[in-house]
Amino acid sequence: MTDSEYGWLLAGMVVVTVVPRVLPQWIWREGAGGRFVQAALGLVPFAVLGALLVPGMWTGMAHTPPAATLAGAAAAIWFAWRDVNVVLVVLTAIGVHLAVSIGIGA
Amino acid sequence: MEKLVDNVDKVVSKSRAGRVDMHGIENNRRATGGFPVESGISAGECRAEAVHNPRTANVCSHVVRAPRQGVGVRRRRAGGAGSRSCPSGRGKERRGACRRHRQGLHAVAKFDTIGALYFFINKGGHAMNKAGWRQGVAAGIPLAIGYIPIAMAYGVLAATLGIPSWFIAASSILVFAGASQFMVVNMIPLGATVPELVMTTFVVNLRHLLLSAAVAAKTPPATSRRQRTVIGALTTDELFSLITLRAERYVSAGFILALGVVGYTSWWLGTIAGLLAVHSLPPLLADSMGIGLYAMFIAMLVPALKRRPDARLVTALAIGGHAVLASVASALGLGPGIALLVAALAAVVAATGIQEVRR
Repeated sequence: MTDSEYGWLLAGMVVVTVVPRVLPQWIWREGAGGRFVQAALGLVPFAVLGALLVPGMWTGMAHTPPAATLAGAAAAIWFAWRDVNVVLVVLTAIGVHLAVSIGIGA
Repeated sequence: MEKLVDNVDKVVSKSRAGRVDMHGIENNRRATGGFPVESGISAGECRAEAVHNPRTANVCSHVVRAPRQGVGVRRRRAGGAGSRSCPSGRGKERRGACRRHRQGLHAVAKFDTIGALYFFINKGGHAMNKAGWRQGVAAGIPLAIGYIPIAMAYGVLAATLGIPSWFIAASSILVFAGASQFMVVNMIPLGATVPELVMTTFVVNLRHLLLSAAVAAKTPPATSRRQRTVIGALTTDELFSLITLRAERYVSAGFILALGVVGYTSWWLGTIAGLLAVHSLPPLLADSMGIGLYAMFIAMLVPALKRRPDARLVTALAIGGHAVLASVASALGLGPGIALLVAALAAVVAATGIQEVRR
């Protein structure tokens, strides 16, 4: 790709990213949609986070050993269940993943 | 000068009464009652006065910091009339320096980028909750520490795929959407065209409609449109999770903005760090850093599920639904973003329906 193609790509990416992000903030009105929508919105984070994790975690980490990904995820779940700080969860998962990767000689 | 001393007395007596928080910028504005603008007293004069009267020295710093004279008014006031009250406005440079005093740009210089952005976002006149802003910055630190390894991984990966450095840095600064950035740099070496790449980004980012709507529902109704726009532009999976998983009905706009700004800053700083470290970072470590993103999702989801057992059903439905849908998505011609959006929406509708029926 040429530099100008990269420039157009960048401009296009900015537009298609900003519009879906800003639009709901502009059109949102208090109490919109009634009780059902309000109840549903409370459940959205759980659904989105669950869907982001599975199967994204396996496909996103497909270039690394599956055992390392599994071990990293298990460590993260264990620490998160014990209410450990997010930073520690992240660093532990990276550490465990790296250790297992080295261990199995990836 | 009498006017100044009067004003200073007022401010000092207010602060003695304990009603003024000398450190809060919003409070400063209230404390000075627009002092620097309405009284026509410049910071220079104030400083000059402070030399003779040490009592006013403290107040002077408030004059300098007054947000009314923030970044927003720079252009309007940069004219010749602006140097009217500058006591030492002889040389061009001197006048420039004085202008900076009066317009509070010193305040911006004293803060970091985040502080400058605070001024910019807040200049619409809608007083933002400074305490919320501070808490947001604090809450953003784990977010930043989660982002930096992922952003570095992005910089390293993109550079090793032969993408120009300027594009890698600019995509993090201007686009700020991790998942689609990763996807695009993976597709470029495969020979994807610009329209294909933009369409992919659009499809991957469509889920932001859902995320942003949920964040909008948590944004206080009184939030100005400018602030809503900035919040929207800074909405990511992580900001959304941190905001929408909070128990309170509304989260202060300052808190959301601070979180967004900290996350955004760490994202592009991390990308640039990755670009700089591309030759020195062991590839194995770069690979492992990729798991940081998912670990962050786990760290948000698991404790929230402990607190809200009623949300376990929707999580299980979304995980199952997305696992199935993602495996057949390419056969159905669905992009990865659409599959996620459909699976999450279906899970939410189904779970809400079941909840309503049970009631």
